[in-house]
Amino acid sequence: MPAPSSVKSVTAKSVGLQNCRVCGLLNDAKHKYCQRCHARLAMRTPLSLQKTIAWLLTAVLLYLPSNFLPIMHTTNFGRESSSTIVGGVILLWEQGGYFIASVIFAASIVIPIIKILVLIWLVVSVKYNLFTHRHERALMYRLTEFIGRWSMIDVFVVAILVALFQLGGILTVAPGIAALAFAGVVITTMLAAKAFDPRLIWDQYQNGDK
Amino acid sequence: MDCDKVGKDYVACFECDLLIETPKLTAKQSAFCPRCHSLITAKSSNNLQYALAYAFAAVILLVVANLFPFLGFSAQGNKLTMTLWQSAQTLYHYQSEILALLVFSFIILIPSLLVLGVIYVLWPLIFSRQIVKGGIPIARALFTLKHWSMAEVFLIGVIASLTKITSMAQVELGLSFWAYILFVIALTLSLSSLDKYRFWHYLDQAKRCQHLHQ
Repeated sequence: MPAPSSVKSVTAKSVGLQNCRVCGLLNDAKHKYCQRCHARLAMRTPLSLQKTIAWLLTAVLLYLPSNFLPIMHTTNFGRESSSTIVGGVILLWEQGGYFIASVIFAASIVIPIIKILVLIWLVVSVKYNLFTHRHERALMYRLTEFIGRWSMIDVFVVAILVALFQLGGILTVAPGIAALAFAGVVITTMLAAKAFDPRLIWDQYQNGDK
Repeated sequence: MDCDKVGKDYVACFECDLLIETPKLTAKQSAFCPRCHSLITAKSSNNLQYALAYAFAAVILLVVANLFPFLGFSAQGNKLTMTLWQSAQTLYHYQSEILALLVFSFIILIPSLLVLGVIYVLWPLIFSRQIVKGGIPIARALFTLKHWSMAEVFLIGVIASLTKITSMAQVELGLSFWAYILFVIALTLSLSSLDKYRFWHYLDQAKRCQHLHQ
């Protein structure tokens, strides 16, 4: 239920308490480590925006090779061919696997781009104190964090095909360099989402409305 | 007793830091943050017990999933099978060592560490109200590692590759394939039953018990 607008938002930070992000114990500001689970404490993740941007830059740099270089090499009766992520999706679509082609297209191409854009939006809006859409931003953050792992599908598809067609004679499949690059994209975007402290979205409003 | 004096009556939302009175919930209630609507604690009367039970099921299923062929297919007289383990191992043979390590970690290593960790910490906690040696760092690792288990993503990957293969060969689903599906279900149920909020409160109670007995 949405809070009535008359309610004053008191945060843990405003009363000098730091919430442990691992176990949820409220610790006094003087503590460096959580009194219950001994995790490192911080009022807000230190350098959160900088870390997020750094991981995002890495993700963008890896995203280019992951899409333009081959993700796997197929040898069929001595004839060698390479395919990229997009190429694989198109081939699957032509073979009639519409559903699975859409899933891979969403997981490998759409989701990484959306994730990167959402995180850039979050960082920019916090950095420049853009006072709008905080509920939407909180929701987008939650979705970004939740959906992160699902981009890994294509890497697993390569792993399975490679394993299944090993020493296969007529057909062999070898992993391409893009598979590693793409795994890197997924991992770095996940780390970017982890580095972003969602509490920053709400901190801007402490002095303003509500 | 002094260890949880701070913040006994209040909790803060993980996502927006709003101070909230510690929710007093019945078994069928969940708590959400009134400001950002993120989940504070999920419902269920005894979800830690469920987490332990599902973790046991998961361990057994993971062992089975590693014993038998995972997928097999035959085309033009050739019959090939692969095991779950080989989906990472074969990458290693193609000089993709890092990729092999990543795939192995995401689909086998991290999921099995998670279920073993859940059993190691929860068994003594539930049955004898004891915090096992190293229990707190392990519990902390569990909540961090949770996000890096990709067993269910791998399963979707398997289904995607099956659609690719079926056009060219007859695919056989091995016993391990079915065991892995059940493993993924048990793992997901176990991890989703492991509620952060309830777990640490339960641990606090156990700690208080230990103080009383000493």
